[in-house]
Amino acid sequence: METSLAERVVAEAVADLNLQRSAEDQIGKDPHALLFGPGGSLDSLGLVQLIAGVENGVEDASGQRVNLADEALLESAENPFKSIASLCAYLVRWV
Amino acid sequence: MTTSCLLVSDANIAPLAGYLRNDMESPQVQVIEAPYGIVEPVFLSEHEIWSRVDGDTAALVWTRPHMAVPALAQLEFGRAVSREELASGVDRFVELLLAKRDRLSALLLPLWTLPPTARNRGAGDLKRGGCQWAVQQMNARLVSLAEDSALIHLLDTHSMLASCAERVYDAKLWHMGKIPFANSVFRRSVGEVKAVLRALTGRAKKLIVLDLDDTLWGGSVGEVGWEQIRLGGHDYVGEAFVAFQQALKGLSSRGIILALASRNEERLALEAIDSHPDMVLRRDDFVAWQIHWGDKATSVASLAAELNIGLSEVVFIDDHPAERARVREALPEVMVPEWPEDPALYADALAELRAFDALELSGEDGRRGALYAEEHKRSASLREVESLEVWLESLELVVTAKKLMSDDLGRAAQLLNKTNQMNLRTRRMTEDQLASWAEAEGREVWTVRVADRFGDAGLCGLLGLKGREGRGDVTDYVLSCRVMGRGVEEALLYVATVRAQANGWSSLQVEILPTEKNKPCRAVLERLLAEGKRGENSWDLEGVFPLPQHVDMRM
Repeated sequence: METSLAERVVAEAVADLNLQRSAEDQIGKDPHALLFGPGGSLDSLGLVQLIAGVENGVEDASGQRVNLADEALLESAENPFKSIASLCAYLVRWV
Repeated sequence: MTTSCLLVSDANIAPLAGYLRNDMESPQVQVIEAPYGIVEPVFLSEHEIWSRVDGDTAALVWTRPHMAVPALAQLEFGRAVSREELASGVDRFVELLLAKRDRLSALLLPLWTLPPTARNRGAGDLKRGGCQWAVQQMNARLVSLAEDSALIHLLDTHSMLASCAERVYDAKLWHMGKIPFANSVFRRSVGEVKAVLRALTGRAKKLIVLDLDDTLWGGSVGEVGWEQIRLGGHDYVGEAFVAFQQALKGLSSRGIILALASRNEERLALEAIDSHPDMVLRRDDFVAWQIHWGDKATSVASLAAELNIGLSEVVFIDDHPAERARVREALPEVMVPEWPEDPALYADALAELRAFDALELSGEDGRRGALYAEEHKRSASLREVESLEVWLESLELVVTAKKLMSDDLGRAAQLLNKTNQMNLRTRRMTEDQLASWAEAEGREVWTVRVADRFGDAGLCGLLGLKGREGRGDVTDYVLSCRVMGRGVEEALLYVATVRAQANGWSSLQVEILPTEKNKPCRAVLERLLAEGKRGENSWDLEGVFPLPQHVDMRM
């Protein structure tokens, strides 16, 4: 997947999550801010929605169905949901 | 203004809570979230959630059909379930929710749906015994139960799903988060919930101010003449303008008032309205107009003032972005929606506003346009006489007061819930709550009808009285803005004091609960009760309040 497309898909999924979050709790635009994991801003419900949002966004943008809900992946060093940057990098690499 | 809404569901609707909390559209909603999956315990017990609920809270109970009626689940496993069994399951479910009827201002129930993947017998699912057939039976029963209930309001889930361009169900969200719909559905439902909350709290819009050229018809009438404007005919643009006018006519027929603000020659514009064969809206459909070359914002403000309608109850529709920007900037309280460039989308854009929802319709809603037109003539007559006293005498005003009767309950509750400016304490009550309040010992609710030589304004005043240790309190002093300034304010106080004497109360206390909007009520009380002022917000009334000479009082 092209970087710009991956960034757009992730940005849209994050924007949707932000619509549900208070002004103080917004997920910032810093690509390296922690998302999920120790110190991250997402709880498990937020993660579920981010996974669904990105999977659907990838499908709409590229026609490919990906599965990001992989426990092993989440626990691995390569955890793509660590930050916006890591999620984009994962999509660029694997989609 | 903030409204509170309790969310209860058997599934995880946390995304809806988030969207509802953060949505900027009025009213702001304070969301109270019950933990999901415990609908029955919440409604059957004194769950801690109820400590955060007050009588003004509306509850949104969004359930999957299997949870509401367990028999449905059995049907999916092959057991035959009858229509009666489904109906009695719905009855039991609604009865469960009504256990807390006294704690809530409204019960919002989205119609039941099954996920699109719930396909068993295909087309057979809609035959007797099929799962879709069963859900339709359940919804039909729910609609019938809501028909006679002032508390229950149904949300049309099917139209919400149909209007979502994106996916409406996501198996992953369900399996991972027990979230029953895709977020697009929850985003969409925020608008629907808010429309109901606005209607419940009297914040639906009352007046639409419309531009003419390229808004009600295509082209500039001043340039091309009424014969050449695009309206009707075998022309899709002309037909689109007709469809938009028909939609406006529909709103007008249920009490939304229409007015015009157009930069045009008045004579030419009115000629087009009167003469064009395809005009759906005629001169009589507009209660007032400002057709000249002056500023649109000034026109809108003048129309609102002339009709005695608050700016926050006004919607301004104009195809021209600069005019919209001007009104938005000058009159921030007025709702100025962005407007599509394509006339084919006008009627849909009007529906999308969801600003005119009416949960119940009284006979007077349909007459509202005529009532405002009468008021317009009345105001014009005031300009023709030499003094206010002479004008009041000329009105032949008849005020009829009577104790609240069951046939007036709907209109009385509507008046209580929709009136903001002339409302002493802005109490909001459902019909049931108002009826039971009025029936309690030591309490009285009186309604007032007003008529004059220009027409019958109908039921437009309400008075609530409560006795307390030999004295009385005025709990409600409510008057429709359209009859203000004619002595009805005094007539209501007269009724209150006559009733106080009849009940043997030594005096009456009038205490205002100040809000952003009831300043006109305070001004009236300051003027009429100056001698009885007892505190910043309270006045005492003793003896019978004098009735103005020009009022023919009947009670």
